[in-house]
Amino acid sequence: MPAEAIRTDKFTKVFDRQTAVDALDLVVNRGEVFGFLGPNGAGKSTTIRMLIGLLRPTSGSAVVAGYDVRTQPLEVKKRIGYMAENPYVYEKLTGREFLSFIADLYQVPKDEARDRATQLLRLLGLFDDAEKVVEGYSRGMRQKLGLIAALLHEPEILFLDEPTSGLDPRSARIVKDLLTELARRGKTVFMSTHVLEIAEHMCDRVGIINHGKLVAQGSLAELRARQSDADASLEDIFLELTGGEDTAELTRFLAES
Amino acid sequence: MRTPFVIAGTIFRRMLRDRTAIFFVILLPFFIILVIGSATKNLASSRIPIGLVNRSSGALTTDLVRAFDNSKTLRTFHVTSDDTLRKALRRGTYSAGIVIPTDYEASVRAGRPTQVTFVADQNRPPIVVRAAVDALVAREGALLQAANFAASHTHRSFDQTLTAARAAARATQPVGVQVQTVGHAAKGQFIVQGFSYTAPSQLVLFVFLTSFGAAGFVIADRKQGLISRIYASPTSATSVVLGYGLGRFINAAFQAVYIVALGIFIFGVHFGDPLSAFVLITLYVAVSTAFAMLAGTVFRTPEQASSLVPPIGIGMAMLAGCMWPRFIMPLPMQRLGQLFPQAWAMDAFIKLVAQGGGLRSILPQLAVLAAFLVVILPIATWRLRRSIVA
Repeated sequence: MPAEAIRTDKFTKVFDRQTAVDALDLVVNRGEVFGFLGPNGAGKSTTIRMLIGLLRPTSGSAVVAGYDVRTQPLEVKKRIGYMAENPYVYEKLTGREFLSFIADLYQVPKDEARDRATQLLRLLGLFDDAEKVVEGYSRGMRQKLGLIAALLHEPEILFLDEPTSGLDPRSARIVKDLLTELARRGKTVFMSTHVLEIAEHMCDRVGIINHGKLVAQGSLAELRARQSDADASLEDIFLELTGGEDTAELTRFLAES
Repeated sequence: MRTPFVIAGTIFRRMLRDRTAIFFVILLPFFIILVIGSATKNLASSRIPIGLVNRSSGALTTDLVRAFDNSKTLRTFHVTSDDTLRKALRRGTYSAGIVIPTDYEASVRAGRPTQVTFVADQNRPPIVVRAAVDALVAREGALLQAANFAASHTHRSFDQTLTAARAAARATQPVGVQVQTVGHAAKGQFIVQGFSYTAPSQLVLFVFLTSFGAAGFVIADRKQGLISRIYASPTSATSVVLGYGLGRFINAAFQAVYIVALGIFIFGVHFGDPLSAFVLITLYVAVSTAFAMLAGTVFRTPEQASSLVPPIGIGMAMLAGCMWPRFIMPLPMQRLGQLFPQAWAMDAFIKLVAQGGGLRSILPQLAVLAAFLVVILPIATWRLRRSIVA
């Protein structure tokens, strides 16, 4: 088993002459929580969608869980779990039925799927609502259901797009603890997030993408060293790397007025 | 290969849980078949509806009324007043009306002349009804004349001679008229009426319309990321497309089976040769599924699909003969209707239901439906697959 969970090489996606992801070279090690950061439209979701086989890269390559996403997408998909930022589910199914549907797609044996679903539903406080149809679920409940669906088949690598958005503080804390525990057990977590505080506290390493290019990757300490500022927060580093001119302008305006 | 069935099963389950879908799949076809079938039911009867106002009373009047009631060509409805009869005639409820005058009984017994009044709407002069009524009244009049003649030349009473006359009439074989026609009805000009028309035509209309309308679900699933969620699992794009296609096919087949069952068990419709009907319905459901999948990739938003599908689907159904027989339309519109699969399915159903045709007789229609499938399904599959694998 390779030490690297994800490696990309000149990974590129071009939509109608618009380069969304530009020659991305990224390495994520096994068992680490990797935070993928970037402003809106920077290319985070496109990168994730290419890594999990939903989008075909225009050029370059990526190896996920030891398999090439371009030539062996089904092998990759067997080993990963995915939760989109808005985890849409079939509205007319109950939470339990949706999980059973997802388990069937991953060919998880029925009994095993039911036990795991029960365990995760209890853990995320969704057990009492599991028999209700999803159309009555709140945003946070859908988020939790999406996370459970991503974990049902015990994947090696988890791809999560904004995993804590829509969650109340208590649920967000449970999710953070759950992801940390999964990493401790050797699972790899690749998550995109806007919440820099979460990335700062949860992630072993982060990658920052801007205009489709990876502008930095490493641990917080490595990024601080690169910025020559030992006290810099992740927010400072992020704004520095992604162009914080607008923020600086606003700060100046507020100070003068 | 289990995954397409898992997806299809979930799509079917979702349809059963959706009240709007249930309305369009189950309730609406039932009510439309019931209403249109009931409205056109009488057209299927060979007996012509007439209204009868009887102002007289007595045994001879009863005999005349009974003659109308037992007529094989007339279907007699008893009406209480002249006014009611005239209103009903203007509305077209009856083809004609008969009024038996107050003095009928007395005049006949006295041997005086009397007249039964024939009432008709001047805009719709019912020649056939008039002939039938004339024949019936003339027969009754002949019996009365015979009885009168016998009574006046024997010592027996009028009632006795009338009874003898009726017995003699029953014992004598009547001289009949055998009707023969020359030539053939124009191709396809078979009027199927009542539930025998509405059940197959509503099957053709609704199976296509609800399939076509379900394109909105495919678009929503695509736009909202549900299809992506499935594709993110170890499922190939081909399996996703197969699953969605199979799901649509099962939903459409469910509705077709429901309408057939409704037709057979509730409305007493005979769909013709079972094997031919099965092949026709299966092929038509497949064609509807292909159109649904194509629409799922052509329309951009679920809202666009839901606003455009009803007028397109109903317009196609009108031109195809689901609302009325196609042959009553001008020739250019008939030709236009043939561009749509519904027209070929309707033609095949008419052959099965009205003409008692078999598989061989509907082969041309089946071939055209198969051609629709062969052309539309690969395009739909290719477009849906392309929308998944970006």
